[in-house]
Amino acid sequence: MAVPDRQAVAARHNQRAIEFLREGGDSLVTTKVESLFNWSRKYSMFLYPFVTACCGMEFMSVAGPRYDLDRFGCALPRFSPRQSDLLMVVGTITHRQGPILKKVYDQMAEPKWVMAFGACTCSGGPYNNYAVVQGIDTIIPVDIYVPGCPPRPEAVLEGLMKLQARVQNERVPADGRHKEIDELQLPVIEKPVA
Amino acid sequence: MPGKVIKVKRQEQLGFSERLYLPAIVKGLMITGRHFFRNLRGFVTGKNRTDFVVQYPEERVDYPDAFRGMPVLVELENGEPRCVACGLCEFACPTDCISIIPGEIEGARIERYPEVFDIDMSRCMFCGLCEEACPEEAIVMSREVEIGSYDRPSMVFKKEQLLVPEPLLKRRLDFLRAEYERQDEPRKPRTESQS
Repeated sequence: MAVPDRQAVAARHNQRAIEFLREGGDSLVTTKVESLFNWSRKYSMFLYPFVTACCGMEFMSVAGPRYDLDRFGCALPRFSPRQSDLLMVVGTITHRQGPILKKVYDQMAEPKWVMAFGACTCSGGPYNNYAVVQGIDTIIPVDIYVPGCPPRPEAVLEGLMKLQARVQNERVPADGRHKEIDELQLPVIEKPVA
Repeated sequence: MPGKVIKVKRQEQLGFSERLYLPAIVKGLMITGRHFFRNLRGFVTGKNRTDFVVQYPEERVDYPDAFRGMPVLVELENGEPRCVACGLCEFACPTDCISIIPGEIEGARIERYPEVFDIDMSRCMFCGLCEEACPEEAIVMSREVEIGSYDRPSMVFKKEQLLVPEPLLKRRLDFLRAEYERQDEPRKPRTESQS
């Protein structure tokens, strides 16, 4: 994973903040409060497990004590979309399941994020046929994709950390949720190659 | 009357300390607290930890030899892939996630090479059939699994991203060779008792 140069990123952030203030944008106080809110949001995500298939087994192993999602502040499954922040779409979404997923997403209150968990939700995976939705991003916006069939718990946790990096840099509402990704301070993880 | 009825003696009357209720709670909390403080000391000093949790970004479990992560291409010393673009992995792939465009080198001993070698990791299901089909040991399954991304195009890995130097893949290659050697052993003739 390419790690962006921190000083250059900080300089770009400062430059953009100065330009923003010159244009008569938000005050320093509101932006600081926003970053505090983002910090608290990223470490207290209530997730909605939309589990439809075999990836659910791997979801259980991530949520279980060995790889404990709770260490990332993300382990309180709410089975009501009204109370949840993170929609984890775990498993194959067929065209019959699609409207249900859309309804659940629409029922969630802002701010909300979506994680596509597993190959089937990322792109349809091995099921390239008429019955399966070819990627849930054809139905709802997705913030983080975690491919794998099923993904290892490490992959899910790394995806979650990337999502947290994204949440930290969000601006509501004008700038929107789509910051430039190369400006995010991504988690640095030592990986074994083989 | 079948059998003999054994009367099990149960302690139905609670003892004095159990009836007081507080000593029993203290006893239970002492067990919990012992585990808590032992692990707390383990986190600080780094030894004698007994908890089950893998503290993921700092520590990780070692996968077994047969573990299949994302497929990678073996890179030779000159920086080129060992792949000869025969297309067998593309054919074997059950999810059609590999796409190869072969190129030609004039006058070389091995004249075919992959001009484009893309693997769509969002479709790949890490089954290892490409590795099994490959006659050149050019595509092997690595131990890399953390390939989460923010958008779909970046999940399509190009040839340059897939290349891994051969020495780094030694563990997997050794495992594969041992595995194929084991499979190539002649089968023992069946005896009557086995059939």
